[in-house]
Amino acid sequence: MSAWRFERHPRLGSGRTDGRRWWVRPGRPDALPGLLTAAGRWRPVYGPPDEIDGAVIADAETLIDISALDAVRSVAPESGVVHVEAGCTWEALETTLGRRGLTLGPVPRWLVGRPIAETLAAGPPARPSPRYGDVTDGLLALRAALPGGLTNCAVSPRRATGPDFGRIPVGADHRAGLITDVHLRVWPVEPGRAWRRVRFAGWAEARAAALAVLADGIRPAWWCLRRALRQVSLDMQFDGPRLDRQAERLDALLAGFDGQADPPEAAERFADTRLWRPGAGPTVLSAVQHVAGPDLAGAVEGIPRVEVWDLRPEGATVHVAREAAAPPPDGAWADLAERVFAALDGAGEGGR
Amino acid sequence: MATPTPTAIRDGLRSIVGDRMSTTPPDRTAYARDLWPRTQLDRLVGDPPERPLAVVWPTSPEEVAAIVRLCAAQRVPIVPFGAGSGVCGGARAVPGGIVVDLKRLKRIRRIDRAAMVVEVEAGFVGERFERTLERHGLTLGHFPSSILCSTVGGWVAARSAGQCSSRYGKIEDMVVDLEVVTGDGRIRRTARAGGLDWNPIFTGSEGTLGLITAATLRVHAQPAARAFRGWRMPSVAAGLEVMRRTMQAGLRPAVMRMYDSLDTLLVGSKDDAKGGQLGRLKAIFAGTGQVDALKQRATRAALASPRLLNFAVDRLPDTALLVTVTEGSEAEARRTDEAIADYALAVGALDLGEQPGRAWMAHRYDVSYKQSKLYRAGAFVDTFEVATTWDGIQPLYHAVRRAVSAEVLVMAHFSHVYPGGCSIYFTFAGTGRDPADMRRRYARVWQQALDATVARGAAIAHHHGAGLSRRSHMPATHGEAARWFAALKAACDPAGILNPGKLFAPDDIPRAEGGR
Ligand SMILES: Cc1cc2nc3c(=O)[nH]c(=O)nc-3n(C[C@H](O)[C@H](O)[C@H](O)COP(=O)(O)OP(=O)(O)OC[C@H]3O[C@@H](n4cnc5c(N)ncnc54)[C@H](O)[C@@H]3O)c2cc1C
Repeated sequence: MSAWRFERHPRLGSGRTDGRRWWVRPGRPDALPGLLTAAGRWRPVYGPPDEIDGAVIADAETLIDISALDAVRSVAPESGVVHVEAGCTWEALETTLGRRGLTLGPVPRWLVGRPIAETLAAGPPARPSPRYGDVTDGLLALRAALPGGLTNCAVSPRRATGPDFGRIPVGADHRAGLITDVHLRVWPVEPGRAWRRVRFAGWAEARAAALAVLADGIRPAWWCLRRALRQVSLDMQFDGPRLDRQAERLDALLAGFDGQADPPEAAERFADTRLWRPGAGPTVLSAVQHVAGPDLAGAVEGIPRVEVWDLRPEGATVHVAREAAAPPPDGAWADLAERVFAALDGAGEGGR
Repeated sequence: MATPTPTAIRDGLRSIVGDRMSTTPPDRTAYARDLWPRTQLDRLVGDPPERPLAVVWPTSPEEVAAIVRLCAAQRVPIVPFGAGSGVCGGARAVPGGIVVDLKRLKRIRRIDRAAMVVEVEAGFVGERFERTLERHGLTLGHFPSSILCSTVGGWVAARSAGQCSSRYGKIEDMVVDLEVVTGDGRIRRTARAGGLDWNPIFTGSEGTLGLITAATLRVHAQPAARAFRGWRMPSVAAGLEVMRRTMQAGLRPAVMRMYDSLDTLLVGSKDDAKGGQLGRLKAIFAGTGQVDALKQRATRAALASPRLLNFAVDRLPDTALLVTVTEGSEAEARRTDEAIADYALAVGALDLGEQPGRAWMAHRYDVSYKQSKLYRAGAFVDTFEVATTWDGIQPLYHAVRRAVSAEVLVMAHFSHVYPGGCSIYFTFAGTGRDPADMRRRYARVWQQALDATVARGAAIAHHHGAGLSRRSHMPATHGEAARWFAALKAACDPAGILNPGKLFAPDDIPRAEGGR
């Protein structure tokens, strides 16, 4: 039986308590600043308290459940912008968009079940796509609740009004406020889709071929480099209206590299295991992402299961299937960040 | 703490940089301002900007750090100065402060072809930087009209946009890593940072959180091919539709730039300053035409009736010139050009061939760094760039025009095109009974234009920054985010010496509660 019972808190309103902490579930973003003021040490959660891992909420006085803040507030197809509350999950959003012929671009299966606020607060999630960009590229505006009120943000593809304030809560683990709603860029679902797989002798060859594709202005909707048997395979998905022309150009380009083409269906099947499709569940492929420099071969040396989705000339995001040591953050900066968070919460309380 | 004497500051600075400093009146006058047009009006009114106590030219991040430590200890404000091409007062001197000119930090530290990044010091002037990259077969892809008179540090500090931003992004899209000196006098690198993502914090901070001493930026191979074109659009709306469809199809043209009716007339006009009215107007706006006393009077008289002028402009045929440049590999440049043609022909546009694109390219830096001749004619001119999403572009265009049309003649072009929207670049010109009246009108125009932009939920700046000219509307634009700024300021600039009063007015910065 649940230890949590409903009660009325003098400042938080009605919620549940287990005697040590409170659980509240606001229905509107503008209720949040008041809650944050009254909440003491708070922690955002996404669901009822009995379903939450105890370690996550160990020292919280108030659990603010934002799972009810999950409305897709508006979709502007002409501008390609969706306004959505941050308790909404990625696949719920993609499902809603799909009904209107729109998409966020490829959504990795490991984001399935996860709310937008959670993934953004944990750091820019990798949704690498040469064609559609990553999540922060598509973050046109972000609002957060602070104890004094809500932040504001003009919805614009680009701006120049000081630092990019909308990026401050991204990766800040809710210590710079609670993300309430975001405007994200969405795209029309393209009429066609095609796949390619090419295998290369090693990482260096695969990387060179992939970067040549980018340099030629060809933008796969998704790609993945990974070790397959003794080789490195490059799988690609293309979306677009002119796929025949893209494919022709791509094949001509890749012919200049020493690779071996596999049937496109192999790439399609593999993409289905990695990207969310309606009805698909989550995968637990990648617990760890880390950022590598241009020496990709060196960065993945000795790691048995590794996939690279985000590849640019200057580096790559490497997904590793087992725990691997991420480089430690610079102490001086961590200290500066702590000063920012301290300046924000004053009394030393606030979200963590 | 007692206010430090100018002599104490001078001696302290000299111990750091030796002779690379000045307290002479000409230097202090030259460094009192940037190119904010309002400063010119202030001068005409007899209210010139305050001069700094001293100007310093450090040559290394270590010297910059030592200067910051000295100023922090003595509570002396610092204004970082790139090339002073800013148009918002961001580099305007602060009373009792010094100016740190970063142009002597001008080394390229590293060109890494494998990673396609370049590490460059902040004072490198744009055009020289691009020429150096060109020699290596590379490009940054950042071509602001002010490329001849702006620095890498100024670009990053003010979140600048180049003419090819649709392909390469704005400067914030190019930053991989920054080296900054924060208000505690420490040299830090953002790439090794923890806790927060510091690149988007320092980019756009306009010298209020730290002095940028170097940047590592993404670069690209020089494009192998370019295609140029001009289109006569049947209407502004049709042109916007073509721009939107192009970007949402995932294409990346280098330039898509469309002029509204008046701007189209001026761009397309063949008559020069000696000839027709249009040519003269064009030359005057650009600040290049010869303006004798008679023409000055005529210009002033015309601008004295802005309502009438705008009424006439509103009755011009609703056609618009769209200029496009596509580039990349031969295949990509052609592919993109052909795709744009499909969209343009579908809305009934007329293909004007290569000439408009080539002409634009040839004159792309023909903006004047000199003050516009309009000031000599007893009038003023300024520009105002805003941005929003596609569904808001036309309403924003009309709202801003409506808001200011009783005060000034206004025209615009649409550029910096992205999948989600674009920017509108307004140019306005007006006059007044005397300099004081002009300055009041100028202030009203800015207030009205910014009000109209905020009311539509659009971004009040696309690439010129906020400085002093837009700070009045920062609270309305950002709401509680001002608390983030306060917290960042308390952490990064505990002595409050870095470009104080810029971005946010002091009264609009909430008190940061914690801090150490
Ligand atoms: C004719 C003309 C055309 C222009 N066209 C464009 C254009 O196409 N695109 C565009 O984006 N802008 C344009 N501008 C505006 C201006 O050139 C940009 O804002 C540019 O980025 C400023 O660079 P700067 O080196 O001159 O900086 P400055 O004007 O010296 O400084 C700008 C701001 O940044 C701060 N700053 C400068 N350097 C540093 C540093 N190293 N560290 C920390 N803070 C610093 C200053 O304190 C100030 O607040 C134009 C201006 C003019 C006059």
